[in-house]
Amino acid sequence: MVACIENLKGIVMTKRLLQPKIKEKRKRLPMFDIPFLVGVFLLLAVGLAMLYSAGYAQALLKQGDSYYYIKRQMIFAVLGIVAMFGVSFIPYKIYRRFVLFFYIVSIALLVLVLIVSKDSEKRWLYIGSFQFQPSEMAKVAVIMFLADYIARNKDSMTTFRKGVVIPVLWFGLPAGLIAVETHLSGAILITSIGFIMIIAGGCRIRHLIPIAVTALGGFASLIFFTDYMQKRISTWIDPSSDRLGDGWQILQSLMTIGSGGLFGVGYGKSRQKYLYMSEPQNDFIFSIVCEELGYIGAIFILALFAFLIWRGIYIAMRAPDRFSSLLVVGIIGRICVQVLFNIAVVTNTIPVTGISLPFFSYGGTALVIMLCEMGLVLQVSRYSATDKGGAG
Amino acid sequence: MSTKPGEKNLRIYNFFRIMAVVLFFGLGIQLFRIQIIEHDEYEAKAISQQTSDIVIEPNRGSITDRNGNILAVSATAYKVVMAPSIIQSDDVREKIADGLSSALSMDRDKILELTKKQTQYVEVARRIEEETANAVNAFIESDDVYSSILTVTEDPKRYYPNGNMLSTVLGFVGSDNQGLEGIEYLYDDYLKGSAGKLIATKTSIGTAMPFEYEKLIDPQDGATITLTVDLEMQEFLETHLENARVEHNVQNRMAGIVMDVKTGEILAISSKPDYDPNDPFTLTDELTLQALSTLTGDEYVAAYNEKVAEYRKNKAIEQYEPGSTFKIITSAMALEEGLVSLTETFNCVGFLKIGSITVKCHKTEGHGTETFKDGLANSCNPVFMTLGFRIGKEKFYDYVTLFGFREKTGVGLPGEQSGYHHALSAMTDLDLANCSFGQSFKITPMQLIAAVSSVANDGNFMQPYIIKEITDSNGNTIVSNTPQVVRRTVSEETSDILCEYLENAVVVGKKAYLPGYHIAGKTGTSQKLDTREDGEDNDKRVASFICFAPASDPQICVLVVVDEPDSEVQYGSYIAAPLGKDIIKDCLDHLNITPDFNAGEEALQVKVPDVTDITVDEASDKLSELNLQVMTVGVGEKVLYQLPSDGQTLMEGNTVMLITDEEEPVSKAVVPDLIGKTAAECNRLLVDSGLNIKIVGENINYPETLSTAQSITAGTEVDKMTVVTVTFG
Repeated sequence: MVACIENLKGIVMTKRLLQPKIKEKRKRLPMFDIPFLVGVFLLLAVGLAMLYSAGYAQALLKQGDSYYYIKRQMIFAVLGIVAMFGVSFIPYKIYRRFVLFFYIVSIALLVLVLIVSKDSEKRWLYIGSFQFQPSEMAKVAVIMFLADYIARNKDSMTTFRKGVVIPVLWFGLPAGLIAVETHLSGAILITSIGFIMIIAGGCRIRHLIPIAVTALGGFASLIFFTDYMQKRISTWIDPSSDRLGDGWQILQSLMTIGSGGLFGVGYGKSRQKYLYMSEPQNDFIFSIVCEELGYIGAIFILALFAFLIWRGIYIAMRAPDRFSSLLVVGIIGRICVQVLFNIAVVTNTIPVTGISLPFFSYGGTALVIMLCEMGLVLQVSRYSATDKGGAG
Repeated sequence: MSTKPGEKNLRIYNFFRIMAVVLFFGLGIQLFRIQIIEHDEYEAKAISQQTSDIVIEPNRGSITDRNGNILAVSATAYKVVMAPSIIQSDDVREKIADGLSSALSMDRDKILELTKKQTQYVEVARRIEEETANAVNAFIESDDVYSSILTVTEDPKRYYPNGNMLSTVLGFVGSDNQGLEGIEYLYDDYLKGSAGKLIATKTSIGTAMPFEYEKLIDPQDGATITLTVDLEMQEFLETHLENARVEHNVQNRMAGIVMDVKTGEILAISSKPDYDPNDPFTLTDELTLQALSTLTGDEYVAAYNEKVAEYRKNKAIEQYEPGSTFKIITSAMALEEGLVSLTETFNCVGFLKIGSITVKCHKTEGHGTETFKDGLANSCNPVFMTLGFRIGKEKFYDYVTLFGFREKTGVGLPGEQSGYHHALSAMTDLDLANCSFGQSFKITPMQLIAAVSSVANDGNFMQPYIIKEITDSNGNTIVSNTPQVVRRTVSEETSDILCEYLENAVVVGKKAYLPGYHIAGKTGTSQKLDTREDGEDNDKRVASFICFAPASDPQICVLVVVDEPDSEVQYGSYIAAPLGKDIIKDCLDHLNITPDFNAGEEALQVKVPDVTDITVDEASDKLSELNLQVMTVGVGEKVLYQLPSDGQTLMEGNTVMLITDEEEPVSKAVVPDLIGKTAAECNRLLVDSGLNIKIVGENINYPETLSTAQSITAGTEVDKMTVVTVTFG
């Protein structure tokens, strides 16, 4: 693996020295962005290692096999890596032809899951023994569809109707469907990505004001008029007020993070994962990271994500066209929002919403799709190298 | 927005990634706050929920006598603890009740009731033996359900192997093994040790974590306390006190102390009746129970509890009226101050006038002309009142302080009292007169024995102490008491004179005389102060006797206090003196301080009276008055014949055998070989054979002098109790 990366670096170096020759070569073998790929692999490696440790006790208790989660996640990781490289080799222009198809299929699946799923949380579709979350696919579909929409309407993005109202409706529809699934966090995520994309796409900020006011008003009324939201807010302000309910998880999370200290208790030595944290392999995996690897480890992982985002935006800035650029912004924006929300939740900075941590949290569909998205970024990055409009 | 429509808005891109970094930075700060600043707080919370502390009880230290004999010891027992609040179903409750009732042999319904309590902690059974604990454990292991509900843990149990022995000194422990009375209470900090802890990690459902995170803080067992008490002497003391109590139908309690004169060590100390510390809430004394049996209902319960509380007290360190025993102290004052001449004579006419009040001597017709030596032997009150006035209030007061009567002795026992005295300013002449013969104030037996021992010990007042040594569980000595001279009370000269005069007093008094043992002592009979002040019951008395031996070089001192003897004769010489004599004799024998006979004691011969045809009790009384020992053979009520027969000469202390049964054959004894032995050995051999000894010879200097002849040849078969004359020197 390392040798391979070294090899690739060599090619990049050569490319700079022999500019014209490379230009010809690029057409046959467009090179993707190596630092971004390294970032992805590092995060995936650390994420899998942490999943193994964090999920160990849960796996043993609930599945009777301490390797249960890691075995499944590894399978999906391998599948995902294959998919990522596969995706990265197919020119993005080909995907663009299918954006509307993806979008319609996603919406159809979201409707389908509402009809057929028997779960209390209508999130999963079962095809034989295979289970699948349509909302995960919907996120990618929305990103691709919006990128295409904005690219097509790039000249009218400054208008209120085309720049704001129509795209908001486009991402509002799947967001709404997901919200009906009672998957509130998914809806928040899609909405956040949507706004990031239309802002990056050049809509007038002042056009967003009525939308923002409406959203805030709606949110405020949710807080004031529903017990459910009020409870969430009061639990957020004082987790011990709901010690045995939602507060339990957040209190445990704080204890878990806090006991890590500067250097942590050591990899694999988390004590909080022994059933104090419920589902430490999922949304609260970062707490275990903090406990085992300490502040140093947590900052390292934050830095890795920051690097990936920074590099991702860099790729977007140097993307060959509007569609590819916004595609990357959407994907990177999604990672960024997920990381921010996830860590803000585990540190009780914001009220609890169930957003997973990319590359870390247990979940096959999410991982495979995330790696496919990484493949898309890498695909775009093949064309970024020569984009003279890009700035590092 | 300066960019043209359709262009990529690089500013927005830059803004986004800078925003991302800023927000990440914010998260970094938030993590810093939680992980670094509030780390300790969160870690403590996490650890407290992750760990389960299992308290390991330390073993309470033992209490032993000076020779290492165990007086109090903790042994491992077990307790069964239940967490009824986590029982899910009535079915489990029933099963637990069934299982435990058969394992513990307890009432099933009682256990069933316990299982219904909504609490995390119920003690089902305490201090059960290992066998029972194993049975309970077997039941717990029979089903996984029980393991979280029931636990069996160690529960140390305190044993007092000698029952009532020394109980008022030892005290006892409560249900949590904490000392409640006596040494158990006062030295609880030494005895209890410190609990250990096993800190083990646990998951939220209480099971152990798969990796090692266990910390064992070893329990520190309690220290062992070694007392100065000698268990054998304690047994002598208690046996004699108990016998005397029954014999004289003592209404109140009795106390006795045996002290080492040279060191101040308490060799034995007792209060009777006492209690069994193994079962400290139950009255065991038959006489008391009989007395209480007339009561019923609440009256009975109240009286019962009152007695339970009273019998826990240590009378040897509580106030009483010393009476004439205090004349030793008055004598010491007068001698020390040169206020009495050994040759002068006093004239007792039976009373002395103090102002307008006449204070009587106990011998109302008067002792007539007597020397100081006679006055002490006669316990003549006018002589001591005279001495009291010569000493004067100030000096008297100072000496009372010097002899330690105004402070606790600090012997090392809880509940010790000090004296109760007249204030110097308020002391009248009558008070001084009363004080001089030991009335109108109170001291404790411990104070008196310490003061008198100082007189016997050449004037060196030794600190009395009962704690010899305290050693921790690792064998390190924490506390070690050694003999300490607190101060000097009298000169050696005064000491010598009093030793001689007090031995004379015992010889004259006869009731405590034992040939060869050289016991010096003084009896006392005092009116009980409190009852007298009430104006009624002023016939209640405290009889006491203090003695030490051998007079020439005092080793041990014995004090016995008999509160309210219910005999026809209440005087100390009749009740307390023989008791004290019996105790000191056994103690001296135990210490191998054997009798020191000399020729002069031939004077102490008695003619055996005729005691046939009277009851055994009457015969015993008659012989005891002559200082003869009695041995009864048979179960008849009347004495049929006696050995030796009347008219024969015996030495005081010899034994007369009373035969009460017609069928009883006259016992025969074989005379042992007595040549070339010490007096003590000869005496023992003859006593063991059931024969009596008579010692003759010149310049007998114990213990070197050996016997040279015996009146009856060794091997001869003679009647029992025949007197064998042994010649020494």
